[in-house]
Amino acid sequence: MSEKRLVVIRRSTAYLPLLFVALPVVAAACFMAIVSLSGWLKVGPFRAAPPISLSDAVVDGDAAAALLWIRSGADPDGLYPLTPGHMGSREPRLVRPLEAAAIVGDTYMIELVQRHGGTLPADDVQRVACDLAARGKDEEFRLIAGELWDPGTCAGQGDPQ
Amino acid sequence: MSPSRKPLEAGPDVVTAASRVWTVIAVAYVVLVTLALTFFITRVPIQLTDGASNMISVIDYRPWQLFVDKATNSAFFRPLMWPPYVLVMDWSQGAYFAWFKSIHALQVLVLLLLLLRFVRVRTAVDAVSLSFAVAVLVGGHTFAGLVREAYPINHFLAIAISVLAAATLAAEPHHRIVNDVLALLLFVYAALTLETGLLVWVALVWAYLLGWRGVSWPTVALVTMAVIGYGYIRFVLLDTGTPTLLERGSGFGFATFSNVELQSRFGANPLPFFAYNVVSAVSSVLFAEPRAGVFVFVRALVRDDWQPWIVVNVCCATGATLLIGVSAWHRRRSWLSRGLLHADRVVLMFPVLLFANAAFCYVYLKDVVLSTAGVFLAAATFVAMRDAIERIQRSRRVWPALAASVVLGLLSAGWAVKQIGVHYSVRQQSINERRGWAAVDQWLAQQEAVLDTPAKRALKAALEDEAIAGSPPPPFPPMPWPHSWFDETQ
Repeated sequence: MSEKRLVVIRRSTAYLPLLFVALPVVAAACFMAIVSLSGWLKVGPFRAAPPISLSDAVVDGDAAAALLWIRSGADPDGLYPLTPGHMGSREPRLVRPLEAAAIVGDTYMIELVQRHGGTLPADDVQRVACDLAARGKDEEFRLIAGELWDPGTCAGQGDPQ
Repeated sequence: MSPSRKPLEAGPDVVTAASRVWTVIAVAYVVLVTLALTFFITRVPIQLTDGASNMISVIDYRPWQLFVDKATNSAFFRPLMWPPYVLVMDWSQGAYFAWFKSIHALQVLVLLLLLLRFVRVRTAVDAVSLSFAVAVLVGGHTFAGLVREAYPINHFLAIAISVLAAATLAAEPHHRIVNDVLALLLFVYAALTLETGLLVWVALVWAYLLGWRGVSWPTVALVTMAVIGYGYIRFVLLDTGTPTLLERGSGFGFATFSNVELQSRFGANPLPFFAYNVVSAVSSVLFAEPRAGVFVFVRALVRDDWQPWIVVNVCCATGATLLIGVSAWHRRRSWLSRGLLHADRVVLMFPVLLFANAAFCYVYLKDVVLSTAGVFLAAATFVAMRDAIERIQRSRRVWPALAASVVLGLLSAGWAVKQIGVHYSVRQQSINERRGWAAVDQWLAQQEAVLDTPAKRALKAALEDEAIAGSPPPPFPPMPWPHSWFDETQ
């Protein structure tokens, strides 16, 4: 290799450590700045879409948003739409808040909805509870079914997701 | 030493137009990082457990009353921790959230700017090394507690700022009276706010011994006298004492134990446990293991239950420590000959502050208590990274230089993941805090807290309204693996 070419290579490699070190951390910082800007201006791909209903807030685990819906008059027993894509469903789907909390297996949200009077129709209790039992969600099962049932009574029932 | 570094190392007064450009770029970068963090910080409601509850408990007090009351507490001597709550609440005239969050964001900005000032950015290599050091600081597990939580003013952040400011004053090229006055004020504020505030004294004394003369010896002597006075007031006059094992739970081995369990295990002879905590604290900063006294990485290996974030944590911290070790090895001759340059002193501040900071963790271990050591770790990695880059640039062998560049790039990539991760961690905190506020009445009932004055009820209502109806949690890019790669425990 000629001396001249070697000098060119050495000059090029002198910039490499600068590039290799700066690129990841500066990219990470810029990425988070863009995410923040997107969230702040509510534009762009990273803006946070607010929940569209009480059940949607429950699926998100956003307790404060759920409470706001309830305080603004949403019936905790009502049927509400979910953002398409939530809980794996691409189709518009109507779900009660308590069922939404049970499906995502969020004990805290189940208790929150129940504390504000949310219930399930009697026909749905067994289905939802047995789904929970089939998924091994004993704590959530107890909250939905109460002390009346034993998970064993769900044998053959339930729809593990 | 390369000839090109001599003017830079000769002193900080060598400022050229080109060096100013790199300083400005570094400032812009620090502001960018702070703005992103600020957005996330301002999406976290005021913490219910240690923030709002503290505000509610002091709202009917006057600052001087709190100063006297808290000075006579048992176990802790923190008379200046509480009065600022009342002052800020008074000044805010009800805009509590805006004021406390603004203070928090300002603290982060000041810390990062002080880091920049302390390490001194003059060249492109400096600017790149600073970007790495900022990632080490912000992405480190000792930093997360500085942005996730506040009480409602983040005092650990205030202490980290105070210690770094003291070191920066000491490192100023020329002594000025104002440096002495500021150093004294920093010590008084920090020492009376948290116990780790005494690290200001450690920083001033060690900086003087290293040869920095920005703060004069009479001031260093005066602060030393003040430390003796602090000890006399705390242990003799007020008999405040020190925390015991019953103060709070802490980790040991593979698990975290409650205060009662710790007392029953180690109460008869706590010295081995104290030694474990101090050694663990040092190891935690250097290797990210153990964490809060718990050997998370080893436990994951033993139980075959590891997650990528656990490996990233340990690899990144160990990599940064190795980088400092290599830099120290190359600098050993100038250290032994006492011909210390600014960069040498920056590196040498780290081990002393690490051990001093670790000593404060003897009773219980929390990541955030080590935040000051984390700041000086970042400063040391600045020098170490700069050394590494310059050595590669001076290398006459192409392939080893390329391989070393790739290794540094991988280390930087790991810290980039951690830098993003701290935002994710703050987002999770926002979600958790909003959940807490959604059940605030139940929580208050559990705590048997009585809102017995109109001021307390109004404050609770205002904070609850802000938490429930305020801004939603910050957005985060949809990723299939955030729980695996980002450390939610930090």
